[in-house]
Amino acid sequence: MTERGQFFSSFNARALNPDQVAATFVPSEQFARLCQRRHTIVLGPRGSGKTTLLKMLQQPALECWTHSDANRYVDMVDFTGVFIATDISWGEQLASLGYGQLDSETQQLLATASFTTHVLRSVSIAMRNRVRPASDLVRREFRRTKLAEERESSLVKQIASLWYLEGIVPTLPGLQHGLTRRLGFLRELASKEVFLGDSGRGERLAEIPFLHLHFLQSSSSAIEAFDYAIGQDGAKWGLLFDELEIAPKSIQASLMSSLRSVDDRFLFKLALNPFTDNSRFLAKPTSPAPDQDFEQIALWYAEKRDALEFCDGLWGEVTQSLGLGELSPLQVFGKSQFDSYPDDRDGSGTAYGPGSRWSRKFISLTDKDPSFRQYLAGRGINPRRLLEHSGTERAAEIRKIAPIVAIRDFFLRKDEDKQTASLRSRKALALYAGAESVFAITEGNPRWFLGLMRSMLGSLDVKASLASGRIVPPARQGEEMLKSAQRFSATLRTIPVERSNAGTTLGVLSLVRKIGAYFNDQAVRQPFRPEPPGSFTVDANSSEALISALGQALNAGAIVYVPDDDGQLILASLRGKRFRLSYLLAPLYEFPIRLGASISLGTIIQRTRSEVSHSGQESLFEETDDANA
Amino acid sequence: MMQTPKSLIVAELSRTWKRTRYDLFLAAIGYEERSRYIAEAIDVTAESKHAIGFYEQREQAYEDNLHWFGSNGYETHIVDDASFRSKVSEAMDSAATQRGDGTLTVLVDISSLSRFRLATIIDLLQGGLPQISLTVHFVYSLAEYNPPSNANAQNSHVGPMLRSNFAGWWVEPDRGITAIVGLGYEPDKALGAVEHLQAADIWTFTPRSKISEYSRALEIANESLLSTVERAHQLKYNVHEPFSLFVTLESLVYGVMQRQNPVLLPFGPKLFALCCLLVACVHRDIAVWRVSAQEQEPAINRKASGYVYGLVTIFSPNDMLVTPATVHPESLQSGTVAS
Repeated sequence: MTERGQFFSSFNARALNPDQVAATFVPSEQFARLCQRRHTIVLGPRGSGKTTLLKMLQQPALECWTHSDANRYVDMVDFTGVFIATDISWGEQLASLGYGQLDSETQQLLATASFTTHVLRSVSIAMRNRVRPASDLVRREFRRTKLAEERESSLVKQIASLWYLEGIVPTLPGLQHGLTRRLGFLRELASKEVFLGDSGRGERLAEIPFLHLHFLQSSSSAIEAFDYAIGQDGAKWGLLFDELEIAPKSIQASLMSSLRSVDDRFLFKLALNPFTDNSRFLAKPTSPAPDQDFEQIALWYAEKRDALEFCDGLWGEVTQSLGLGELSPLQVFGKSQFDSYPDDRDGSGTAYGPGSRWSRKFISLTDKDPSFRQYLAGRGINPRRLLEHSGTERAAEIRKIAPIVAIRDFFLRKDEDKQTASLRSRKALALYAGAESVFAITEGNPRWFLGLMRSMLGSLDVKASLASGRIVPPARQGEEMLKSAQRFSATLRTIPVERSNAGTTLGVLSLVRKIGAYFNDQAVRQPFRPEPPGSFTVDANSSEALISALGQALNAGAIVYVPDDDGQLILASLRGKRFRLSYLLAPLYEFPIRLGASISLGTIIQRTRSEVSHSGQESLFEETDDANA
Repeated sequence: MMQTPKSLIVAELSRTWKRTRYDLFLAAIGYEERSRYIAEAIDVTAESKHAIGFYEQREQAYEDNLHWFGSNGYETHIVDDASFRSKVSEAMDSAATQRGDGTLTVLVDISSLSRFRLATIIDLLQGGLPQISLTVHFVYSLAEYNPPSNANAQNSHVGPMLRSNFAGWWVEPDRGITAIVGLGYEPDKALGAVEHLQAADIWTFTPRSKISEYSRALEIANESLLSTVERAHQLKYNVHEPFSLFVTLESLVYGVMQRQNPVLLPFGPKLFALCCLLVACVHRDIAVWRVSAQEQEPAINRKASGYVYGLVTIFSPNDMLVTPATVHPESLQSGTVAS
């Protein structure tokens, strides 16, 4: 595989080996916090990089990492990482053990034993990595140890005894293989139990000792034996649980309570969706408390500027992998329609001088949008003399409304006959082009970022164009962003909904579509306002069906939590909380990339776009065609 | 009760199947005219004929189909999905008792079966009637082209074909998922499923049939997904060659299993879903999923095109579990898969 291929294949870390993850990993402030000797909960929607971060704490990843800052971060890690992978298909399998024909107690016992076996297998892999390099690409040794053959054999026999494993080759790979076999046996056991029926089941299962192992105690006793064998008593081990929601409930409960009652040997690094029922484990007065007992790391960015730094880091890897040299994002994508840049400024130091692109947008909108004219007049702002307002509060106001001016100017056209404005049939392809918009639309989500960069920059004609000093055409940028949004919509459409007793359902995509249409309406179609709504607050009386759909949207990354001042990131409830739509959806629903004012979600739900256009409230703009269909 | 799975042989359906005397014929009463096409056109000879209808979506051609089956010597039943298994099981038990020699020859028209019901039948054949050797002819009537529905029904199930089966089992859960996808013409439905699974690798199977309109619709519906799939992973299959499809699919699954965890996602013609389920009978560790709005799916009255294809399967009693290790590539070449 080419270097480029390797780089872009890394946007789904789930299937990659630790050395493959390390080959392209770009450190972040979040990774620095994760390296600390603290229990940590990493929160983020799908694709936000949770798996990558956890995988990077494994020994083989740290040994193979080539980034220029790698040594600094590696020095911060003083534990052995044990990565415990999970995915939804494995979750379905645990739930299906026994073909739905076992009593729930037996099913849970077998599911928990399977998960425990998986954890112990992961521990055995981490031990093996301590002794034998897992890759040929080692740059530095990290927590490597030596274990003589006889000593390894004796250690493995001891661990096998603790874990009730028989008939294995007494080596660390043999231990791993024995646990792989045990996983196969557990499925057979479940099938057999269905066949044998309820009678005598309790006795049969009681006599299988490994079914009753506790995953933490069993890990702890084996690790104690390992540390003793290598002469490093009391060393730290980090248990890195990916997608913890998928684990059996008893395992989740045990891990969450472990954040407080500490086995000195373990650090827990748990990856969770932003909205999960794990919050109930943290709701009691005696529960572990954020900041005191564990650190919370959020992998989302409520404000677009916060994502830019992370995207800049990834950008360096993109240009290097594609052979684009030192090209800046601005040189590749050009200026965003929503932002001002240093070279927009004239001799007087502002970007709003006569003839500037911002001045042209203000004048253009004034000519065709009576509501904007009215607004400016009311505020005493002359669009042809924006400079007169420099250095004052009014200048700040001009900067603040500029993005709304941009989007309205893009979509509205003057209707000479009716002395009003109308929507023009224009796709938002070019509107969201430009460096800062492109980065904002990826939300600092590595999978989205790399996917979009691959589609925009991967072709030879684009590289040739860049080599001759031209930017990627705005329409091409827009087209690729629209495709990304459509792909994301397909994912949202797939998310299954539970049918309520009343038979009512609310799909994630239809909810998101309503919100997007509302924000578009408020920013573009309704009379000009300096700060139209761009975020929403969930009403206290929202139905359970709505909360469920919102939770799914949040975990999928379709909506983004805007945290309160109290810094609580693990949400016990969505009610009363503020969110915005993912900017990835902006090219699809054509809303501004800005947080905007907050409005109650109930208001949005009640006033879908069709209701808005048919309501008694007069809309300023006559719709000439369905530009947003 | 769940029984020890049987061994399975899969073979091509001979042209003489229409002259076969079956012990049992199972048809579905659906909302599309196609439901009764095979029954009506072939005049199937069977000791016992059952047509099983759905509780929901009794619209379009449903009443006509119900009336036709009822008037032409079929026992008709209207059952919900929860009762479907027991109804089929009863029909098989009864036919086996009547036959009385430890064998049973069954014809199943899968054209209007839901994927859930198709999976239920395979599950039953695999684990039910422990002492009976079942020869089952599956037949499928290809529909005339209808454009895909624009209705966006909300999915209520994304997961294993049955809650109780086809979830598979990973002995190495840390491996990546390979999605093996049969493409259908619902826009971006396959894409959404692949993204939902977060598959690390993707193989696609695009159906080719004698009805050319499907090809263009398939291209449009899956353009976005296919743009991300390696060319070498984009396979085509002929709807009129289901046995060849089964062999290809089984070989691919066997290969993928050596390094990743395969999840099969059968969209498109039900013959593809049938082949996936049969492959899962051979390789019990793989997963077969369905993505469905269930009774909320738009009811389109599809008409038969006149093309009928099928497969022969033999489910035989076997004390041994069917495991991947017992499948030999050379046996595939001879046209069978045996345990």
